[in-house]
Amino acid sequence: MVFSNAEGSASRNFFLTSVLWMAIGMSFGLFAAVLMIFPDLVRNIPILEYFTFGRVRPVHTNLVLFGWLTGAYFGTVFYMVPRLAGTKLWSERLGNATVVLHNIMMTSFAAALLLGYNTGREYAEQPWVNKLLVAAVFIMVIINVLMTFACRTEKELYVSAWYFIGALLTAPVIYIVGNQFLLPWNPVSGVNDAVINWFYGHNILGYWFTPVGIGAIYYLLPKMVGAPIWSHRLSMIGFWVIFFVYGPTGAHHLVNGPVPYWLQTVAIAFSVCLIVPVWTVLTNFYGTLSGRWGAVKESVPLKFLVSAMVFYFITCFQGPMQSLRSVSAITHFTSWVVGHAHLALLGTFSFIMFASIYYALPRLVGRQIWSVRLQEWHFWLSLIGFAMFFVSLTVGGLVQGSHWLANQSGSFIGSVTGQLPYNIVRAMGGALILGAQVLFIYNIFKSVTAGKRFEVESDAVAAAQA
Amino acid sequence: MGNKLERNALLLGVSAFLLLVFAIVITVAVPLMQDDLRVASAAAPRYDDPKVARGREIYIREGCFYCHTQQVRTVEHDAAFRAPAGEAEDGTPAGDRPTAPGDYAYDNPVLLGSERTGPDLKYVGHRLPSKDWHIAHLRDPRSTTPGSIMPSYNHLPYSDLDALAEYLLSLRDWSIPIKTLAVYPGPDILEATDDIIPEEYKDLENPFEVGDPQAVALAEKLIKEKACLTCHGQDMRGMDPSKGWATKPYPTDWYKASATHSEQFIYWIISEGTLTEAGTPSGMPSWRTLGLTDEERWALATYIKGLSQE
Repeated sequence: MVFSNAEGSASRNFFLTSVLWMAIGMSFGLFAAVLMIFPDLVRNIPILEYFTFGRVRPVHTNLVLFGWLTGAYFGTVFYMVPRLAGTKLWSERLGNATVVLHNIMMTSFAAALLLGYNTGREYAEQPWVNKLLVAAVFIMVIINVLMTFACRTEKELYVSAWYFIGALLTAPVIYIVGNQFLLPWNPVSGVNDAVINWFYGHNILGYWFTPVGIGAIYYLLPKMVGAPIWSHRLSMIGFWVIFFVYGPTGAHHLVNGPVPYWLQTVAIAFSVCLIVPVWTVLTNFYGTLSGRWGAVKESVPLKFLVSAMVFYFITCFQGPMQSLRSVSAITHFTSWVVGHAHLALLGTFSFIMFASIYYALPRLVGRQIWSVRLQEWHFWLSLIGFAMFFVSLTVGGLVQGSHWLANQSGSFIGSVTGQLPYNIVRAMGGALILGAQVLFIYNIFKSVTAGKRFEVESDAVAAAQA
Repeated sequence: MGNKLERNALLLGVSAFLLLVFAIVITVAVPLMQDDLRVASAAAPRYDDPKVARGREIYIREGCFYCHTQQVRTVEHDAAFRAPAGEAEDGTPAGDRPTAPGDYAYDNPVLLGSERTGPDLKYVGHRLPSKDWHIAHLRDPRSTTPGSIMPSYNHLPYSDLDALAEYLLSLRDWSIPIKTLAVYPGPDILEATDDIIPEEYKDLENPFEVGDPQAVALAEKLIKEKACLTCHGQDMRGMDPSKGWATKPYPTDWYKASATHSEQFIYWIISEGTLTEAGTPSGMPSWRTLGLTDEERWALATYIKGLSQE
């Protein structure tokens, strides 16, 4: 098979396929939310009756995490790394082969889960063969990125490059350790299995979704507001503290549970410390924006970035707080945690990727975004839908946790029936979010095929677009 | 140092990697070396029975663990999910505690779970010891538990449901021998007469008058809280093969029991539960060992006795 060697094609192809996985993944999410309101919806419908909540939910999480976000991250890395290095991507051919393998991998992911092949480990559900595909995709990306940096003309490595390199060299290690060392059998049983599972489940956020997202903001924000990053020193401190502090936090998913007390304490202590790197990063972004807030009004991508920063602030304040034993006692196991997870992965990192795609795609295909009006609709529907979604999960979670506290988990069914209004608002919010993404996908496919010519040199156009 | 790192991509990557190694050592390697995380407790369930092991595979395949936890935390919030207080064979106290690492020694994968959309299942075998109940519940969750949002598993073959139910029954504190939980009456409840009541229950006095509004209110609260009607029927008319309950003892029709049996008999059944024909515990648990006080059990007996006088 011959893959295209056109400049920018690998990045573009990752963006264009990842948004399709987003649409499919979010549809499964909405389906799962509707099943919580109408649990007998698929009952007695041949074949469809197998797609119960327990099978639909992992399809949703796997497709949006590995298909959409990870795909868009690869697109972002392939767009930004050559520009940070002052050269072309080392091999567009290898990049396009990675796109194809990534899509085969995601198809296999979805098929395995729908057919009931599940390892029983959250976020590590995939059968062994699919895990090998993940490793292969990462190795292909690492080779391409490191070779691009090896051929660079720009001597200084900008902070975004730090984050990308750090993420690419650590995330695969977390994946391998977290998936039982990528062995075809499972050497670790008992609670250590859960300890390893959550080492992976939390750190794949800390060493993959967080650093690439933050690295992308460090690239996009100065470009969009037309000013350098506020403090170079602060960006360095943020980088090293994130990579140091994030690692031991996994066991905060098992607080008050059957794991050693000391391990919980270590996880909680490091979780609380996470406030430090997050606030250095946000202070830096705030400083960069300061005096230039007017630009936000003009640019949808910048609106996405600023919202993402606000959500990042909230989620990273929530995180340390809900790791505390007393808070966890109430919020753990409730839909509060589901809201928290979406705040990070949808409200923060997906929003950053929307901005990244709006910024990079015109420069990759030489065409402007087809409709600014649809961009505005995309932003506002996403924001309102997400607000409904997040508030209903958070409040619903507190109601759930309080019911268990008041009854010491007796009369449990009351905590289920009491969730109905929150589940309804959650599904409505989810429908708005999905609707917004349909507009987004239509808009960018129109841009690629029918957008006006994009001039990189024209700052006025760039400012309006970016 | 900062300056060098700004120019050397590989050095930067390796430094980030070493920071991660620190995390792996303290939070993965050290727990792996800790003996007490691996040594099985007497309470740990085993999966020697192939049907139970098969049931566990189905539990994983259908993603049950996304909505059900299997861990009782060290906080009071989880008190109702503990195993009942009992005695191990050597007479040491067992049950009634949060779960510990040793309770999972044979679990691979371990199914601690992360969300409680449905109740914790670590000790569901104590709370709901009837296979018939579980199969009826899996087929149509809302028939046994009104308001449940669990999916129906009516599409699975009977052999799957059977294995799944066996697995759920195996989720118990294995240090508590089944037979010593209580002295059980046999399977034919409605046919039995007062002369099989054991000595210690024969001459007890009901502290309440039948129809006592205080007792009725207490009983109504308990019936809701303990979900009695999920087995005895929302109409309190009991279950039998025509309603999908295959094996004896059938959950008793309270109106019939009320008309034919003494307060002491009803109080005894509520206190000690019943056995199947095979001599294993049935769906009717011992509410005495599950923590209902004498007063609460008498209130329930009074309530049931009052049904025939309405």
